[in-house]
Amino acid sequence: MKRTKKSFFVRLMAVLMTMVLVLSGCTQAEKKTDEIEKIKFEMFAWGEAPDEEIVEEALNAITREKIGVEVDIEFYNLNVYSEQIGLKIAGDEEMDLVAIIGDTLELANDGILMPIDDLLDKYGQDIKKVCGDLLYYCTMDGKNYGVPFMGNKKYVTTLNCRKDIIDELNIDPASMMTIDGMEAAFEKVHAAYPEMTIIAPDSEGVIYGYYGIDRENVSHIDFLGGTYYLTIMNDDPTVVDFYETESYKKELKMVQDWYEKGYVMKDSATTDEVGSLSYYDGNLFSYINWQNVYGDPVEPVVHLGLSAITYPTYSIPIADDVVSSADTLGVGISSNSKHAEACMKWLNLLFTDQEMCTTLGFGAKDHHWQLREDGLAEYCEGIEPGNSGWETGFNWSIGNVGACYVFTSVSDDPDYNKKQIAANDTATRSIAYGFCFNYEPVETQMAACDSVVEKYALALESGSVDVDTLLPEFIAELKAAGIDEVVQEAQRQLDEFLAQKK
Amino acid sequence: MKHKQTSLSKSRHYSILYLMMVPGLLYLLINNYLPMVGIFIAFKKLDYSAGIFKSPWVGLRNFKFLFATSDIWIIIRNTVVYNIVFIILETVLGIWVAIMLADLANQHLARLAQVTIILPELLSLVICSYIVFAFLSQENGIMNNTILPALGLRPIGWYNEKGPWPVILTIVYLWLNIGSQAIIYLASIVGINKELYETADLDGASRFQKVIYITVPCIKPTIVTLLLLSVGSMFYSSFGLFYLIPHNSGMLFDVTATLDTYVYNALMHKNNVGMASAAGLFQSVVGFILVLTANKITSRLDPDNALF
Amino acid sequence: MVKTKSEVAYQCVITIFILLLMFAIIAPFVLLIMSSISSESSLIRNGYRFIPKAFSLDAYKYILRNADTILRAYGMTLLTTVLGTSLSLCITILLAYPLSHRDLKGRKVIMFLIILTMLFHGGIVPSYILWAKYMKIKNTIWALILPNLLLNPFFIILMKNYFENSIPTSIMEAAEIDGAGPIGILWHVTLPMGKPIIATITMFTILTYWNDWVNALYFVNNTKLWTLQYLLENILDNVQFLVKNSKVMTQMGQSVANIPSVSVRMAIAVLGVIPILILFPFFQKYIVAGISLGALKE
Repeated sequence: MKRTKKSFFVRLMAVLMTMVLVLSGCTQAEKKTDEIEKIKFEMFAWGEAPDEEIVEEALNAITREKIGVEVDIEFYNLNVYSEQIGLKIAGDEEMDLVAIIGDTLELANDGILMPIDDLLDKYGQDIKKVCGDLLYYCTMDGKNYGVPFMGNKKYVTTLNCRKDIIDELNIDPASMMTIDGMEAAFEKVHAAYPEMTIIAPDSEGVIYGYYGIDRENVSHIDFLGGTYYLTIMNDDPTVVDFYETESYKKELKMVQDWYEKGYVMKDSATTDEVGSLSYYDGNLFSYINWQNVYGDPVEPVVHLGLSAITYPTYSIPIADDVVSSADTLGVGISSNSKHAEACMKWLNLLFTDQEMCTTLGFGAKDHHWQLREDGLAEYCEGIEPGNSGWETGFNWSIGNVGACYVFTSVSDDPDYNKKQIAANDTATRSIAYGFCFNYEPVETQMAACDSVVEKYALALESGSVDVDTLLPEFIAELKAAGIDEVVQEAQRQLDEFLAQKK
Repeated sequence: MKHKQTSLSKSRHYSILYLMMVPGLLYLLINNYLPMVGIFIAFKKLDYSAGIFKSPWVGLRNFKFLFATSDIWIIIRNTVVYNIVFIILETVLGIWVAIMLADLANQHLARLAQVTIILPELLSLVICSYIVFAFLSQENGIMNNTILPALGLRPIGWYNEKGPWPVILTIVYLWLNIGSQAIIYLASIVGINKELYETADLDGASRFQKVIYITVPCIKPTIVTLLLLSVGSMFYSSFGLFYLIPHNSGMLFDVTATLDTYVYNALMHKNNVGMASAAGLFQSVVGFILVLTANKITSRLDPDNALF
Repeated sequence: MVKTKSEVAYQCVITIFILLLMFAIIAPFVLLIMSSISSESSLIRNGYRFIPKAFSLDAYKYILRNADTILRAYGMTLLTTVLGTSLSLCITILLAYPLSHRDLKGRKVIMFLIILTMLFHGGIVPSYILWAKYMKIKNTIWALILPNLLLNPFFIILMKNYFENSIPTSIMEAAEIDGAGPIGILWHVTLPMGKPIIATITMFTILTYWNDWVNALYFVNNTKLWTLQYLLENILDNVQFLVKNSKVMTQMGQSVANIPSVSVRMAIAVLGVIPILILFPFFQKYIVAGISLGALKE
């Protein structure tokens, strides 16, 4: 069958044109005018959430009646989340609610979020009541850009270690709360189990770098702007470059010592795995974790594919944590949103309505979970936690956890969640909570400094290099890259922020 | 019966040719040229809510960070030297493998080989970095646990030692690319008129002479084209190769840092599109100048093979 | 062909070299497959091994929990690759063929413009605005085919070079004398004689579409349209994110147990490679070395 190339091309163009027309026709057909305001919610999901429509409908059933708003949730890849949100704005795509994670407060910096102070005053009374002084999640130039999700904020950095080994070697767990006690314990364990790794690196191979070994001199560390070279400590509003402190040097030398003694994995700087993985395999003595202090027992979890042995664990607190806005999940409103008021109303309802909150976190009522008569919630028949069809991965930190129903798998006390949130009042806040560093004035220097950090920090913190040689080099290069200017600018902004906070 | 080409039929001949090119050129216009306005982002601070056109101009500020490091010469040296070495090796080895494939009497093996050597193109570089780690891991790596002991050598902290890495990276690069190079050259070799070889045989030419005097000259256009195009990427590097494979180990910086890894590390904590765009523009401009120059030289020496 | 002793020796030598090369290329893939069927604990304890200390199909079992996701992703990849490659090939040939005429007016200018696109890029922001906002291809299959992949200037140049240098003008002139116009010459001369380069570029284009995950990342939110490579990349990205931010993630309630283990990641990579491993040998028929002999007969 002979066809000339030319007519093929003509037909091709026709097909393409039709596609474009059909597509634009489709999008137009969806724009029905309604009394119900529809808002979109951009969120990241860690797990799989194929039951999206069921859950959306369940949410909408509640909100439609009460406030006349419906929501459409869209999920994103975590790693490039801020870039993708930015692109959507660049592409003039409508967005309304935008989830924020940790130090992705750069969203505010890039013009992606809108200030919400007025909206909070008008429609967010319940949010204000629940959050209290934690409300100002991200404040830049005196304006608030986000609402934090209220979960349990009282955390303690702990060293999780093998209870059976500790008991076997007659170590007093309380003694391990000091560095000397910890090292003594490590020595004993190493002597008894020479093949075992004693302590694992946490994210990116950091073994003990930032956890305040120097507890007499350093407490309440808050790392500003998501970098380790802008730090405030001891409730002192002086911004310090952590890398230049004696504390850091002490910690590095300690880790180097551990490396030489064989306590530490040799590959910690380059491994792709989370170091604590080998704990579940019996080959690791301890790892660093962050425990929810409100009564949660430490439960080792069975990891895919590993043997089903779980080890009883002691959880030993080793540092004083502060509540920092850098560690929080929250939500903001997109700067190009046309339904800002509906968004705030929706959020306000989320913070108080028990059913709505539980739905967003755990799935649709009577489909994924059901309410018992005693006020507790339990998963429905056939739904397994972990594979329920609504695994956003953020069940415990979305909305206002205090408003969610308590699940039987967690506690028998229907007020458990409320107590968790109440416990937040006793959590120490960083004095810089809500501070959002605008790095624009020093972006060149920060770029150069970040590059230096990437070059040296991990190697130093893994214990595999000589601290006395490399640390001075590291600091010298930081200075050459302009770190002092960055610190000064951060100090200036922090002082302004604290003054405004009154 | 001979047709004389009248001017009418010649112009009709040409118009059909131009018409054929329309879909391709249209696509390039839409996909490549329209977005090129994005080059201006290199001179702006991108405010997403204002959009590309209304974001404020900042002049050359976005370029400053590229030169704010004292390591700029190491970075440029690495980028350029690796590129030169890679280009030379992949060309020579690519042609060599292609000739072997063309000469294989067992054509089944040749076809199997072609399919095999192109497989590395399928592997994501992240997975490649896991595999390299499998070899070079200090505790469990195949090198330290199997190969070195067999040779009677002590284990090495691979990710901390600078020395072996230029070789390691070159080996990985060749593993990834030699297949595609060979296949491109093979296509040209196959197109060479067999009569040339038969004549040479009659003249008693040795195998080596045939390669030098027939094969290589006949594939010269391909070689020149590939070389000219590589020149344009002189300031680019494979991010996966120089960042992922060495796991961004700081100790290896002097031999693995390239312009692309520097930009990534510097901008990692911020999504600064303006600065990233500036870096890209810098690389593009240098590449452009190099290609223009190389092409000019080629036009003088070998006009048929110049790119334009 | 005269089978002299030196000829036989030569064949031996090059056969050995080729076999060594194949072995070197394949070895990492063997490692990949082996690690995907290793038990997770042996991977953690002993690292990757060519012969695993302990076998386990757990990784594949985990993946096949979501068998329909994987199958759908396969389907999308296949569809995208077939459609994309066919379209791309047509347009590339249509562009390369005219450019291979030395006397085409404006040839140098067009070549310059094509090469310029290899050097300068506007970046993802304007590209996204173009395709998502103006061309409205988001969440359609065109999003996986059109942006950036449809034409590769490098392939255009290679093809044009081949048409220009390896197809003798004498044959084209002969066809012209017989009354063929440019289209006829394309169909009867260029395409048959250009089989080596067309086959090569087809192979590369297939690989381009098979491997791409960037388009899915930016233009497709609908998980039903995800391709296999994007599925893998998504998992790898999530792992990276969790590892980098483990403090935040732990506080959010994520535990290490939620990270797909290494063997799972390797298994997905294997799934990404196997179809090509199987398909390409069938594609062999059209591969270069086999049909060179036939090409000149026309």
